[in-house]
Amino acid sequence: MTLEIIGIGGILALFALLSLRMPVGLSMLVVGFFGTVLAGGQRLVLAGMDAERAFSRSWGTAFSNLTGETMEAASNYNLIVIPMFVLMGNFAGISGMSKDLFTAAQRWIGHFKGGLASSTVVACAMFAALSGSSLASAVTMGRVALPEMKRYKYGNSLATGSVAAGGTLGFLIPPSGGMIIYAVLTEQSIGRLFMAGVLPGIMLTGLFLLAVRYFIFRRPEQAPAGNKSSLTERLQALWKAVPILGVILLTIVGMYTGFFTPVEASAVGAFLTFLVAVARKQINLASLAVVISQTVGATATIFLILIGAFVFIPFMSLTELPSQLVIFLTTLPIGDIGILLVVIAIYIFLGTFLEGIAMMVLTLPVIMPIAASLGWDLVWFGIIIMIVLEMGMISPPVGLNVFIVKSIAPEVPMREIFAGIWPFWFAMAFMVALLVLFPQIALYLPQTMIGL
Amino acid sequence: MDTDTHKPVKRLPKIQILFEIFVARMAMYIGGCLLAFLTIIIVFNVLIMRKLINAPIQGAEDTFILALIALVAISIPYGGRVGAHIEIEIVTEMMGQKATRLSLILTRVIGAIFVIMMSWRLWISGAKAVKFGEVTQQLEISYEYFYYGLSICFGLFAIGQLFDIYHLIKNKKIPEIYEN
Repeated sequence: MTLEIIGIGGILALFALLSLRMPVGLSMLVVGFFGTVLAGGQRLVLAGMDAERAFSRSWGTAFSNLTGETMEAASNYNLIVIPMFVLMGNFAGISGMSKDLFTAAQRWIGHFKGGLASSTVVACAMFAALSGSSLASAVTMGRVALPEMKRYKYGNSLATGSVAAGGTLGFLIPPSGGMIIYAVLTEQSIGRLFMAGVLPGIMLTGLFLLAVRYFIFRRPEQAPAGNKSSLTERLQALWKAVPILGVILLTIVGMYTGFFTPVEASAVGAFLTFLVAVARKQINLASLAVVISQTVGATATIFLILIGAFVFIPFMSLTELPSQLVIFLTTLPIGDIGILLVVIAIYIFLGTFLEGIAMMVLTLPVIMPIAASLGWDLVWFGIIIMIVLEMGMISPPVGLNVFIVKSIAPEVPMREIFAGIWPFWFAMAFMVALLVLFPQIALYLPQTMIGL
Repeated sequence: MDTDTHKPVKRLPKIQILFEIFVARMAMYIGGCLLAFLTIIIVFNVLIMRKLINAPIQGAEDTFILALIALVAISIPYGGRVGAHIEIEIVTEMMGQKATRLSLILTRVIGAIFVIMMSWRLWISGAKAVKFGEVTQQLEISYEYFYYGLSICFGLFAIGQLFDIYHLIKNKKIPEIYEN
């Protein structure tokens, strides 16, 4: 049996376990462990060792990998950002900041046609900078924005589409959980990746606003104009949002200027968000229990997957499958851009039925060597991956954010939600094209930041 | 702390109720303390000790790492009980109820066996940690007890899976664990 066949068998076994509903992290652990036994043993046999000794030794290696990589993932100092940023997002969620962000945006731009949908997108972008999670952004902003848009008689498609798409910004705008995982798996600086997400995040927010305009142009009946607020009301709303904007600016600017490392920024952000929640009298034992429960739960989600990936990746390397794939792809007469388009197409396809983080962890062990061998900047590539994963979150049939919105607005049929999503989906595709043509959009800030 | 959101439903077997309470309280109390510790001490170490008086706490990073290991350890079994571990449901959604149940039993059995083995190996690694010099970088605190902690928590994760298997066989489905 060749190593490549063991690798392909491992991938098939992984997908078999996943399709039977074994948790992603656990599936990677199981396949990674037994794959290491097989591939490790086979390598030694191919090197001339007798089979019994070879496999006895590979069991030892697999056991050592299993425990060593588990401890490696759990004791990675940089990964402290995961529970800390999740904590920050959860404090933001209970403190009513989402409502204030939405109100501020609504007062300033809500009176235009489609202004509430635009306000939703802007508030989602702001909240994304606090929560780091697209699901949290969609849930939190959906609860605030959807009733308002219903009150102003917005069409279901535009209302739900703007929430589902706006929520995906959580994956791109720092602090993004997806970026942290990408950074760890590709050994890139978390701080640099965060900075690389800032400009594309702002630009994508702008493109979403254009998508809203396009939607209104096509279906003007979906978005009536709202009431105009007085300057005093606008300033009052802005004043209420100042602490939130302060936290966002402090963490992002702090990292950019090198004043904070990402770990420090995450803890400072969590602490300040806690203080804001205290000041708003939103902290009590019940809300604290919810925050802790959600934070510990999210920590479990990410770390089990990371532990699984840490065990799975060495198995993939042992099989030499990624390097064979690199050789195959680089001999194709399609050039770098062609390969990039193939990779993007694969991600878009997988995104229609796989969850974003799971998809990233499952594919990176194979895709990353391709990106590295072609000399692509892994920070730039990471941002492209984030946007393509975002596209998956709103693609039928398993767009996770669509289901989140459906759970908040159960009366809206799925086809109406999906009908409202396409302009945003194409906005993301346009953003990917811009990044391919102008990599500096992503790379300018990381190249000019101080420190890490 | 108010853990009303984590009251196990009454129709569960008594031993499972005790187990669920234990896992939830461990996540709440220990998890809460660890999160508070990380937040407060990192902020204190950065803003006051490092930035203000230019004297960062010696070995602080080691304690953060150890706190992270503990947090990860307690989160794993808790994540298993609250459905935090990501599963891909698209294929089972297309299967019938019986086939879904069988696939869940199969994956839970494989998962439980594997996690029990993992727990055992983590325990062994803990016992060898001192011998192999596995210590933190600055304070040289041994990882031994943290391996044991991970081992125990993965063991708890496996027990949770065994309860799921029991319900899948006896009641044909995994019941709601906590009242909301």
